[in-house]
Amino acid sequence: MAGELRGLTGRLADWEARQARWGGAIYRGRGVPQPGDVVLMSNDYLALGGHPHVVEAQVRCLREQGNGLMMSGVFTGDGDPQHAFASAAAQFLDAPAVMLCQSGWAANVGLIQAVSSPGAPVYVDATAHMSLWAGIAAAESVARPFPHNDVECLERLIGQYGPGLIAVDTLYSVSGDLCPLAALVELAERTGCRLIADESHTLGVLGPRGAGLTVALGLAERIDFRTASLAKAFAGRAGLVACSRELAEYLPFHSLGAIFSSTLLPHDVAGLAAALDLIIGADDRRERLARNAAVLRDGLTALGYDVSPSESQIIPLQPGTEPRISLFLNLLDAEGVFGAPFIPPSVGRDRCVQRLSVHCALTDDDLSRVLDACAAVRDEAGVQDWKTTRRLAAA
Amino acid sequence: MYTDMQTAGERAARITELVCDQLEIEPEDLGEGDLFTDLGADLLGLIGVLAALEKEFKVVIPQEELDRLVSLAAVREVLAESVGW
Repeated sequence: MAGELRGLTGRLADWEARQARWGGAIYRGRGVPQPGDVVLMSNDYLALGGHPHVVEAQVRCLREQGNGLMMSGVFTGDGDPQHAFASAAAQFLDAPAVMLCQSGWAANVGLIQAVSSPGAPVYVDATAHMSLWAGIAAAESVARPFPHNDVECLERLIGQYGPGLIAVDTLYSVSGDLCPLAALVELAERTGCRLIADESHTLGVLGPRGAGLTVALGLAERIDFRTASLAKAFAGRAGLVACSRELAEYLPFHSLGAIFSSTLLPHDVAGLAAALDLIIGADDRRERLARNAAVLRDGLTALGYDVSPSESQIIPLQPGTEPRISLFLNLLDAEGVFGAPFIPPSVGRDRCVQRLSVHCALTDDDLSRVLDACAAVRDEAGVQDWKTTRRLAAA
Repeated sequence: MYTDMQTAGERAARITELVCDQLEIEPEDLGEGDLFTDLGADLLGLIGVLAALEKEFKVVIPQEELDRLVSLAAVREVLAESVGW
């Protein structure tokens, strides 16, 4: 083989060494949940992925239309079903318009790449989703990270570097806490900044009809851009950008991901539209979700786990290092409780988290099983030695 | 909170405390020249260090200095330059 990509051999060797150090199943060979096990890996918070209304809509569409047109969604005609769903999504979000994207990643990267500019500051929460950082890089803008949810520091930074974009998640996908959205909006308006609020984990979950934190706080007209992955409560494969009509017409022709990716498949759109029907009327599911999350947060806290700062259906258990999360994950898997491991690059080296994603279909028996499992593994996993546990004890 | 009345020793101890708090490192585990990256520090922690120093010492430190914040000794140096000690 001629030549070598710079540093690749070393990086591959590092990767092999990392897997070898892991000493358990995560990268390869993790067990498959068995019937009766509790699966807390999925972001299908309202348990709509298998709902007959969603499944039947997808199957019917697939039978009628197959996979549809294999072309960029930018140039499909007005009759494309994605346009009808985009209009419905805009109405749902109380937004002037919505542009659909292939994913939440594509939404954030494409948006920032299209609206920011080289050298411009983008103020990004230090724990914001990686897609926001990737968008900053794609735009060749300058990331100006601020400490998590620290509006005071953000204001100092804006004072130093001038107006630009502010990019935050409304609900953080690892820590499970909300952003101070009202304060961010006020600051953005006062400093001449534009705000991107990623609502991936709040759509379907918070606010009237599940329209998210922005609508819940009555801020729809004051936030420039809302983005989302629809692979959470919508239980589908897509993303969106909610914005002004003017920008919704501009973005498809300037967001490179929109132009150079093939359009959403018709049955994906059909599934999303069916999910939206359900989400609007799913107050009972939202109530059950909130209750289930509270039961688990309270129960885990009583067991000595530090689940702060979570205030939502995203519950972080925080072993910290890779060896610790490896042990913890294997122990919990063996108890039939399957969470989602967050390890670098999703988090910093010593900030590994086993995330429990709660959903509304968990029964009281399921919740008890999770708590029993966490109680059973606590000593062997060395929970008392986790940094977060010690911090909680010291507080 | 920093005051002009602090002795150099008190100030040095406060800087160590802030850094350890942000990087979640025990003070006894942190030597002056120890590299933060060897102790598991990441961008999130360093951003926190910078913000904590700014707030405590009422000073503005450009984010371009983040790359220099590699050790406790380096933090003291960057801070001293910014404050003008």
